[in-house]
Amino acid sequence: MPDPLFVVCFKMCVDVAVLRPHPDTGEPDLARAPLRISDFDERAIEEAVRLREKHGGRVVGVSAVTSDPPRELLLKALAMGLDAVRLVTIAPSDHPGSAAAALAEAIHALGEPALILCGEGSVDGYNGQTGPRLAELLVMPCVTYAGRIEIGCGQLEADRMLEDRAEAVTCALPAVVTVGGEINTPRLPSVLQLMAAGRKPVETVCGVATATGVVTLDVTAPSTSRKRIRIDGAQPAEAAISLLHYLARDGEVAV
Amino acid sequence: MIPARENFALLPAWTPPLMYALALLAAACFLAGCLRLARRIDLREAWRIAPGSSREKMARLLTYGLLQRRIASRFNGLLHAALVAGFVLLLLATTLVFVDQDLLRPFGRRLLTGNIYAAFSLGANAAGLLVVVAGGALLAWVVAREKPADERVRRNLTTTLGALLVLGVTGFALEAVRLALRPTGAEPWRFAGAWLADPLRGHVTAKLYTALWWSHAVLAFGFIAALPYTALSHVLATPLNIALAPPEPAGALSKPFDLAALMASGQFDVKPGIARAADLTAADRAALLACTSCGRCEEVCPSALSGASLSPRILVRELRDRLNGRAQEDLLATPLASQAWACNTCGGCAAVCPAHVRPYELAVGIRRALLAEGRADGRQAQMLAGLERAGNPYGMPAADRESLSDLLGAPTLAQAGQAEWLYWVGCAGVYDARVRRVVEATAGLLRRAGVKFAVTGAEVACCGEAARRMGEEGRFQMLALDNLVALEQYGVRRIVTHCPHCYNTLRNEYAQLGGRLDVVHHTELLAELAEQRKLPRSMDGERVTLHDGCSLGRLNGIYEAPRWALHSAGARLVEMPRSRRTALCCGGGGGAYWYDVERSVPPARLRVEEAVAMGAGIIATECPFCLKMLGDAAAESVKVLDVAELLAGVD
Repeated sequence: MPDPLFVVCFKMCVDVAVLRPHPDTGEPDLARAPLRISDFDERAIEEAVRLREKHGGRVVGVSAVTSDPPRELLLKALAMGLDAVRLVTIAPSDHPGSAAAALAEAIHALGEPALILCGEGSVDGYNGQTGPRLAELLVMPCVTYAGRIEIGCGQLEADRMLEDRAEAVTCALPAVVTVGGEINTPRLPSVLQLMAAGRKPVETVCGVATATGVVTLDVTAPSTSRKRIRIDGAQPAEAAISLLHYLARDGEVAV
Repeated sequence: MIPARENFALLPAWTPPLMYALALLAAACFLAGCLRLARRIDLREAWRIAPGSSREKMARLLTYGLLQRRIASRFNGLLHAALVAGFVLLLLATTLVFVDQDLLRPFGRRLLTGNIYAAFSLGANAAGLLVVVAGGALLAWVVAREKPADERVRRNLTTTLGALLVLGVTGFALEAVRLALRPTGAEPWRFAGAWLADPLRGHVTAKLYTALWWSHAVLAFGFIAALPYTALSHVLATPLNIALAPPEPAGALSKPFDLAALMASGQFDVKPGIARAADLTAADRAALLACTSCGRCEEVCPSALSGASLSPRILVRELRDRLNGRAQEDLLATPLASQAWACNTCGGCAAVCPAHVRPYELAVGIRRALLAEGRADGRQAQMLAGLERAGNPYGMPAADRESLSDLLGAPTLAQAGQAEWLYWVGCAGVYDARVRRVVEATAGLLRRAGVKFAVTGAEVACCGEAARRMGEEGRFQMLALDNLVALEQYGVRRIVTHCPHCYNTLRNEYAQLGGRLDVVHHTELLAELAEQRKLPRSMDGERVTLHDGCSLGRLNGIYEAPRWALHSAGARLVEMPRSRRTALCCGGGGGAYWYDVERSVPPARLRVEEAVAMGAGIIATECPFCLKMLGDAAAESVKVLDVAELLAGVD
């Protein structure tokens, strides 16, 4: 197919690697955690760019945002190889399906994509619903957890990486594919490439009303308090008995 | 009465015209070759961009070029210096003959008569003898020691030396034959020739003399004509590079572009680094042509010694081979790419190179090109991503920098608002538990000595040194510019740091971006405090050897401060064979700490073995990278502690 349009949906969310619970409340200290492009979405971007390098055409990134995202993240996505980015502003919502409708609308406006890629789940919520919901809204087949993608002659071939096996599937294009961690290693653009990507277009459009009906009641980090007990110098057998004693004392094991 | 020098004696009449014709031919060949070299380097550009005044360039030329200061530091180099001395004198002698024969004689004057001729004869004989003896000894040394290790280079060398010897010997032979055929009365001065002439009297003919004379002449002209085209071109190229390049490795790497200027202009189409030989600067090319493949760099390179794929000599040679006709070949697709990653930017190669070449700068150049194309392996990408996201190579939360304030009982820069001294803790001091102990020891000592200091918190990020050395210049400059803004905002002027990498970068490299920072290493401050008797005697004659880290030592010349600090604390210092300027790198520099280089033995292990062989129970370090690398390699065999820890009485 000549000049295919590849669409990548990506989410800019909290960097969970550096997220810490707030010392006082135990809630995630979102204010102090920076944002980053969700890990699997980076791989989706990388895969889309590779497909464009192989088959020609264009790659457009789409992202549903609730506020102005940091410019460095947009530059990163563009520097990886996206030709343009379209941001869809939506109202904040706890509903895991809130992004899909807005994304679907934005994708409609872009034209006739050959393939839509996104991560299998976002690294903050990991609900994994956006891909399948998008496919339903756009009336397309959906292939999830893809570890390998090939396209040609209007067909998609993919390996789905499941827990106990890999599944080889095929379907007609256009389709929605969600990718996991094994599919590729995302390229790291240099700072010069990041800066140069500033020339590429970034558009912002308003999104449709988001799905409602789910409310988050509470998010707290599990408390990991350390017992700070040290068992010194004993032979392994004696140390084991000491350990069991402490665990039993605190009701962790029944002895 | 000592006669005048008789030129063209005993030779047929057609000798002078033919000789002059050949001389002109040889000279033309020589000049053409020189022009070729000059064009290949782009001599004018190389001279223009070379640092230092003309006077400094001449001084370097004199000390290292003529007097051969670094070359003669070894025995074979001494022989080379003698050979060069002999040749320079013979060149002078030939010039005098030219003046005498071609400039003065047509006007009826003579130069080489009487006492002048006597002195001339003595000098020329002595010089010739020097050439033959030194040349012969050097040839014998090369053959016996089988050095340089590279066979191709050695073969080339023995051929050249052999030919030079033939030249020298024929010179004496023909002098001897001439004196045997026609004594001149200047015999006592032409001592070598005269000594050889005695047994030859009556056995030699004018025909033999003519044959010898012509073979010597043809060989000599051949040498002159071929000089710029063979390995002998180093006679021109090496002194040139000695004049152009400062002899010591530079603490600061070059700045390939100015990020702030690019951001202002909006034009980012810069292709930094050496992706192909065509990308080399004129200064690089001058250096490449100066290399004689002697291999001294290989002998001190921590990567070459530890069995990594890198040899600085081969790196230089590979680049040089591509200067002619292969300049557009993609270097990044060759093994040079992986070799470039093995470099520790320790500067050992540059410190020892007799031709003042800096191979480590070429390695960084290749890395810059690799990263411009995004060619980083997993661990390198992880480290750079950590810098991008969190402002430190560990990728850990930037907010954690605040935690040191409580630990050390000192305000952060932001809390203090301003401070007389800023303790720049660096990244390892925050995120590495082992190095945090050095920070605690340092802070404790500073407090004890009454130094009021603030400590870096989250106002600053990584100094960016490792990013620059890995070739990601853009990331380095971004970090540096942000840090400079923060330092300016809090009016910071004096900085003390325990990390020599931060020290080198803040002091020498931030200056390239407009910074004016007064940076001091903690051992300098501790040495001063020890001298003022503000620090206790924490040791009792323990045998300690100091490992001179490359960033503080070779690249910044600070060797005595840590020694003085240790000595004042009561340690008994023993020196490893490779110490101070010749210290062996621990293998952690140049960004190599953050990724894996294939080696057969870690350089740190070689270093620990060297320390243990000295009977030292403790290795003192002044750098957190050295501390970690040597600490990991030492295991139980010897203790590895920072100078601050030893002064604080930590065991």
